[in-house]
This record gives sequence, structure tokens and C-alpha cells, in this order.
Amino acid sequence: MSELSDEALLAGMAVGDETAAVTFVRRYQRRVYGLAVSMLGDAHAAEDVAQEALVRAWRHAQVFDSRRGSAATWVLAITRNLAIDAMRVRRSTPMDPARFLTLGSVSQDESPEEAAEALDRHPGIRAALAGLPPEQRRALVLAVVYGLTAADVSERESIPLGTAKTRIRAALQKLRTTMDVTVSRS
Amino acid sequence: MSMHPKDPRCEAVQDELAELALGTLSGLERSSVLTHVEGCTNCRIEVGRLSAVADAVLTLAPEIEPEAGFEVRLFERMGVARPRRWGLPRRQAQRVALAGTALLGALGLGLGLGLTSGGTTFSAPTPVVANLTSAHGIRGEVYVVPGKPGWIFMSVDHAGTTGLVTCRLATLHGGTMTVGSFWLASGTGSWVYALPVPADQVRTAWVVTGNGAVLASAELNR
Repeated sequence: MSELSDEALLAGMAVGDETAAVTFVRRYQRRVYGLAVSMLGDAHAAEDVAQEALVRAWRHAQVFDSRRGSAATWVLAITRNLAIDAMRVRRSTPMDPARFLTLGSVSQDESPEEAAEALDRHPGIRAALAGLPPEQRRALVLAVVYGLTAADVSERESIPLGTAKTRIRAALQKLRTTMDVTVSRS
Repeated sequence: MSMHPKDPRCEAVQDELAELALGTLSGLERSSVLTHVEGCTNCRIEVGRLSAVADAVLTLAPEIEPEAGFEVRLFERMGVARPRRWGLPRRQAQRVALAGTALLGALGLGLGLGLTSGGTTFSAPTPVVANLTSAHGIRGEVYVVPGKPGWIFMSVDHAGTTGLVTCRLATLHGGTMTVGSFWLASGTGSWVYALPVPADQVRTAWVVTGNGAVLASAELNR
């Protein structure tokens, strides 16, 4: 079962196969929990969010459409949206965006195999993100990961609204160019 | 950086396209931008690309091991069997596996065997995986997974046709049956179905077009 693709596991989950669900959970729980922790900064709240995200993936696997994106982006987007809801309920302010990036770098205690696997998942994108001007990188992470609007970014960063919009747009477009190059090379 | 800077209407919404792709645009702004995007192919493609970038950023999320007991609590909420991990933490287990695969194998501890937890037996069934092939080469994959019920997953790529296709199966006992239909768009599509027969009885799977031609087939249990 562990060799099945994500799409096959979700297909199995869609027809109620529990072993597919178990395999999927074990494949994704660390990433889902990691995203929740990096957004909320609180282990207890992060567990609630991570569990709810995986429960929803199990219950709604039949709506997953591989033509619209990968299983990873689907389940991480569910996690992100739940974490944003949790932040609003708790009225908490987003973590420092640098935390997401720092936690996201390859950990020292990862095995070489895990490190290689982590880097293979997003060729070029981490380096491209690291290469952005710091103010653009912060604006992008605040918007993409923490769901802040341009107005929110403007207020948080104490910059004009137009500047916030421009930083988000410029950062996204630079990363898009990187991804286009990566795709065309592969 | 803009894909199509010459059209002033497109240029005017470039900032908002980024926010639309991120899902952070709200109210009137969103409505106004959507009106433009629906009628502008270039901007629609641009939003799709920017959304893909946002998805890619999200996949940079760190991997962190949850607290002890996470799985137990989760599987209770999901209402699924409560399998137990190997007694070793994941990382340690990996090291043991790397260091002593032969020993583990000799002890009969390979992955895929049944595990027990609190009296509940959990067996990770081994799927049968085969390529879907045609005279032109590999056209996809078939997974047949044992279980109650067992299930079949078909993934077809580059089959060169669009339209409704049918999945037919042959069993080891010689019977054949149609188990469902699914749609191919530009030769691509996937489909899953609960098997009407035990998984180990499925010998061959065919993808058949509307006019009865076999598009591809896979040999599973021989």
C-alpha cells in the first residue's frame, strides 16, 4: 500500500478504504502538522487543525480532482484555511513569516534520504524564495501562508497599500518565472 | 514581467490578479477583477500560473513530528481501525531498516504483514500494480487493492481519445464483466471503483472505447 501514488490513495479513501486512509495519514501528517505549527505557533492548536484537516481529507476524498492540483497542495490548502480560521477565532496575529521559512529549511536531524526527498518536492522554489528581497519575501509569505490581504500586509508592515500590493505581485511573478524555467528544463 | 502589458485593461488589474490567485481579494474588487478575467484568456492563464506558484510555496511547509498519541486520537476521530506503528519512532525505524533489512526480513517483520493493536488486527494489503499498455506503449496504470471491498484504480494518460470509456475485467475463472465507465479528456482520466469480485481473482483489465475497441489492457494476477 505504501507504494501507491497519492492520487490512488485518495481514490481508495473515496470508496472508504481504511488502509488507504492510514497510509495517506502517515504520508502527510508531518507536513500537515508542520504547516499548522508554523502558522499557529502552538502545539495544541496545531494538533486540532492538523487532525481536522486530515479528517476532512478522509471524508471528502471524493471531491479531490487531480487535474486541479496535487494531493499535497490540496491537503495543505485545507490545513492552511483551517489554521487561518483558528487564528481569527483566537484573534491571534500571524507568526513571523521568517518562522515559516526557517522551519521549512532542511532540518539538521533529517536523514540524507529525507533531505533529498524534501528538496526534490519543490525544485528551485525554495532557492527562488530565498533569493527574493526580504521585504517581498515577507509580504508573499504573509499573503500565501497566513492568508493576509494586501491591506493586512500594509498595516502589519507599516507600508502604503500600493507598496504592499506591488511587493506581493512582484514576488509571485519572480517565483512564477523560476517555476516556468524549472518546468521547461524538466 | 507581465504577460501582456500592451492591453491597458490587463495592465490595470495586474496587482489584483496576484491577490485573486491567492484568494485574498474580497468584495467589489474581486467581482470587478473576475469580470475582466472571465473575458480575458491571458489574464485567466496568468491567474492559473500564479495560483500554482502559491501552491508551490505552501508545499515548503516544514515537516514536524506531531506529539505522541496524535495518530491514536486522529484514527478515533476518523473512525478507522487503530493500527500501531512499529515500536520504534519513524526515524529510528528507518535507520534500523537500512542497517538490518535482511535481519528484519528473516524475522518476518517486513512491512505489509498484519499488525495488532488493542485486539484490532490491521493488515496493510499488498496492491497489484500493472501497466496499461496498447500497441503504442504504456498508456497508464492499474492498481487492484485487496480489501472489503477491494477496489480498482485506473489512471490513463496520452491515450489519444476523448470520451466515455468502459472498464472491463476478466477473472481467473474465465468470467468477464463490465464494472464501470469513466471519462477521458484529451486521452487522460482516472477512475476508482469498488470491486465486485475478490481482488486476487482479477486477471485482466481492459479500457474499452464506446465503439468496443480495446484502448489498453493490463495483466494483473496470472
